[in-house]
Order: sequence, then structure tokens, then C-alpha cells
Amino acid sequence: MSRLDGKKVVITGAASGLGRALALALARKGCRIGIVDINTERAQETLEMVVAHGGSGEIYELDVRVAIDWEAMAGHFFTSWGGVDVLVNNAGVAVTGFVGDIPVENWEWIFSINFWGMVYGCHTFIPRMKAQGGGHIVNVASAAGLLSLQEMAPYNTTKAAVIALTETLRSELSPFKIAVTVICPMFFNTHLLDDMRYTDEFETEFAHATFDNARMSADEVAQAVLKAIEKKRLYAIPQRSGRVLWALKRMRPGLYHGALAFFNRYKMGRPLFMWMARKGLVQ
Amino acid sequence: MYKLDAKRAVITGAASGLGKSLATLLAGEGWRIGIVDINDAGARETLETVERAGGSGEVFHADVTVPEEIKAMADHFFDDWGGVDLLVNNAGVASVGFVGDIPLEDWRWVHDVNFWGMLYGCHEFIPHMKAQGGGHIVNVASSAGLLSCMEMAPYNTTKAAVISLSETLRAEAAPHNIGITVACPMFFNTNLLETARYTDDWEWDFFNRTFQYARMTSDEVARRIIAAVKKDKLYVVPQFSGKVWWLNKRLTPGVFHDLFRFLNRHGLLRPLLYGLARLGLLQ
Repeated sequence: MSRLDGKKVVITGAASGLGRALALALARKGCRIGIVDINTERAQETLEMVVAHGGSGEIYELDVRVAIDWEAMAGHFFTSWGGVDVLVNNAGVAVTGFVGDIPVENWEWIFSINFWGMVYGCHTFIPRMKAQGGGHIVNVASAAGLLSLQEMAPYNTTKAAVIALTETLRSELSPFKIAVTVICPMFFNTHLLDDMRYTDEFETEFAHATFDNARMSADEVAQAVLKAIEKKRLYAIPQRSGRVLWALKRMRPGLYHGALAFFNRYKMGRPLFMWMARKGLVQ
Repeated sequence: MYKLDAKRAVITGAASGLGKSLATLLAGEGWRIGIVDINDAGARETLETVERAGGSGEVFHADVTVPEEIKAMADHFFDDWGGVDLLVNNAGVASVGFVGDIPLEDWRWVHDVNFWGMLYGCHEFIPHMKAQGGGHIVNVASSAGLLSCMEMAPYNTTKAAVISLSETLRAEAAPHNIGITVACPMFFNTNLLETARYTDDWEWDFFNRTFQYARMTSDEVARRIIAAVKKDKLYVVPQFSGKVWWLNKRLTPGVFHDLFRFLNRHGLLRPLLYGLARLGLLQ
């Protein structure tokens, strides 16, 4: 018997990737899943898979960038389901490139989904979870938000902001029995690259190398997420490489970033990252 | 490392507080200061102080939340002065309250100034600095972005994003001879509270205490930031208390946040924070 058996869970970005893997893992525990996505066709596929895995649920079409639609979505699930136990803010996109080269509109695009999409989720679900006497909010960030690697500034900053948001909520929500968890995976194979906006060929080649040599599948990451939710952990870093790199950075943050700057200054930054991607050291 | 010999600095939010202190101290070393603010009267006062201190400069009216104005500002200084050696992204505001209670307008207001203002600064200055062969950028963040204390989520998330942006830039800008420094001060006496937005009286009282019992003046904070720029250091955490809190968080981040979670669950966190503020342990 698991703490998650038969729970009511709402997942954004559940039509593909980690969102879908989480929906299926929870379906196996008999959960009722609110499959929220902008892509209703693929959301419908997820729903069929959820039912096949022993769960139930419904799809809800939502653009996470629209605050007022979040209000309607939260209202719908809390009214027709009588409550929601877990909200998973998962929908996310990626932009790569150097600061100064990345168009401002791409910065705005990634912030509207990765950051504001999660703020709206927290803003609309927290008052309702307080009223129902508890709940759990899971924000899917990334190890990128902890490690701040080059050519990913838009992604890094949105994820660092989501990590800070979740850390802040950890104490803010404890009197209301609402737990929070922030997921910080390294690279693994999802649909993130389908819509990724990049500025040169190296970046897409590198991103595909990280996905091709991934050590964990979306299903394995989903299992790690479930364990973190059950244990009510604040941080969940599924991959060992992420835990090691974060420990190194925390030990000597100045030295960590100084070393990366040194490599990049002598044109060794990109070759180093490509080598690490091929060896599976950033996955 | 880039030589700052030409001594040309542009400082946003230079009409008051830390921006004014930085302008005055640099003026004392013979710098030419671009005083950027939306408060023209305050900016003119800073210019007088700058001239009295032995420097020179000019006032430029720009709203950091408007990308076109920041672009015009950057173009103006690079054309008229023949270059800018140091950019200080300093303009900032604060919004206080619990997530769910804070109006979304306040979230957007804090993000427009604190995050987007600094991003536009980096976005416009980096190409110019690359072309001139180097430079230095200081982003004024806060220890709040490292520690994620409760009731400050909008502020924490902007500052965490700025820290992550600066970390990323450290490596990206190194081949172009552009140095990056991110300042993370604890509470000290500035004009931040004059524009800060609150959701209840306790918060107003608490923040006024933190300023009233400050251990460092804005001049002292500015001195430490300038020293860090000269040493090309990435992080500057001016106060001893900030260094200790950050070290604690880095050692065991999960325990750090779970301690605050425990204290807040039992209603002890607000009294504790208030007591710490009275003793100057957050300053």
C-alpha cells in the first residue's frame, strides 16, 4: 500500500515525455489523472494509456501561459472531483544560445511557460488546497537550475526561479499540510527537443547527444519522482551525475564557475561538454 | 582580466540607495558615471554628489522595464563615450507576502524590474562589450536568491534567476574578456522599502526592523562590491551573516529548508525571524 494509491492528481504537459510517464506510473497505482495539455490529440492518447494501465481520468485543454484559464481549470477539478491531492507542474520548453544572441522574444516565450506557468499553478491551487486541508505540489525544474551551464541561460534562469519558488513554499505551506517537491533531473529522453529553440548547430547536436546517450528513461525518472512524492522530499535529483555535480558546486561555487569559465576561455568548454554528453556524464 | 583603466561606468537605479553609493564611491576614484533612473530629481542629486566626490557623469532617463529604452541607453553611452567599462544592473523593487495571496500584478511588477531589467541590460551591453574587447558587468541580486526565505517568493525568484544568469554568463563571457560579478547582500538600509508592496502589517514591521538594525551601510556594501569587481570575483556576499547562512544551506539544503518548514508549522518562524532581525543576524 502506497501513499499515492487512488489519489487525484493533475499533471500539466501530460500529453508527452515525463508528464505522460508520470501519468502512467500513477495510473498503475489506481490514480485519477487530470491530463492537462495544450495538445488534446496526444492528451487523448495519454488518457487511453492511463485507462489501459488501470487508472482513470480526463483530459483538459490548457495553455499554461494564461492565468485566467488556470483559474477555470483549478475550479473545474476542485468542483467536479471534490478536490485534488497532487498538482504536478510539469509543462516546460527549452531555449539555447548565448546571452546577447538569443532574441528577447525567445526569453519571453520560455519564461511564460517554464516560470509563469508554474507560478499560476501555485497561485490558483494553493488557496484551494488550503481550504481542503492539505495536498502536494510538485514542480518539475531541472538540474540546469542548480548548475547554470553555458548556452542555456533562459532555461537555467527559469529553472533556478522555480527551485527558489519551491524552496520558499516549503516553509510557507507547512502549516496547511501542503507538501512541496522540486524535481531536478539531468538530461534524459523526452520530447523537449521537438520544440527547442536554438541559435546554432552545435547546440542541437549537443542536445541530441545528451538524449541519445541518456542513462535514465522517462519511466525511471517518473519512478524516482513518485518515491520523492511519497517521502515528501523537497529536492529530487534522479541521476547520480546531478547529485555529484551539485555537491561539487555547493562545496566551492566560485571555483566551480571559475573552472567552467577557464575551459570556455581556452575553447575547451564545448569539447568538454560534448565529451561528457557522449560518456553520459551529464545524464 | 579586463583593465578598467578608462573608468566609464553605467549604473541603473543610481538615483538612490546602493546605486547612489556605488556612483559616489567610483566618482571618488575618478570614474565617469552614467546615472540611469526613472527618478530625474534623484538622479540629478546623485550627479551633484558624483561631481563633489571628484568624478563626472551624466543623467540618462530610462525605465529598465522597457527594452527599447535600455537599447537607446546602451547605444547612447557607447556612441558618446566611445565605450563603457562597467555596467551595474542595480535597479530593484520588492514585493512581500505568501504565494496565493500576492496579486499577480505584484509578481509581474517585481519580475519586470528585477529580472527583465537586468536581462535587457546584459542583452544590450554584451554585444557592445564584445566589440570593444571586454568589460565588466555587476548584477545586484540578494542573499534572498540564495536562501529562499518565506513570504518573499517574488523577490526570491527574481534574485535566484539573476544569480543563475550571472553564473551562466561567467563562462559564456570569459572568452570575450567580460567579467561578471553578482552581489548578494543581506538586509541593509536603502530606499527599497519606500516602494515595497506588502500583504499585511507584520511584514511591514519586520522589514522596517531589518533596516533599522542593519549592520552595514550602503556605502560599505558598495565598497565590497567594487573590491570584488577589481578582483574579478563572481560572488560577493558582503555581510558575515549572509556568508554563514549560505554555507549552512549549501552543506545540507534539505535540512536547511526542513528546519524552517518545521518552525513555521508550529508558528515559530515569524517570531524567530523577528528576533533574528532585532539582533542583526539577518543583516
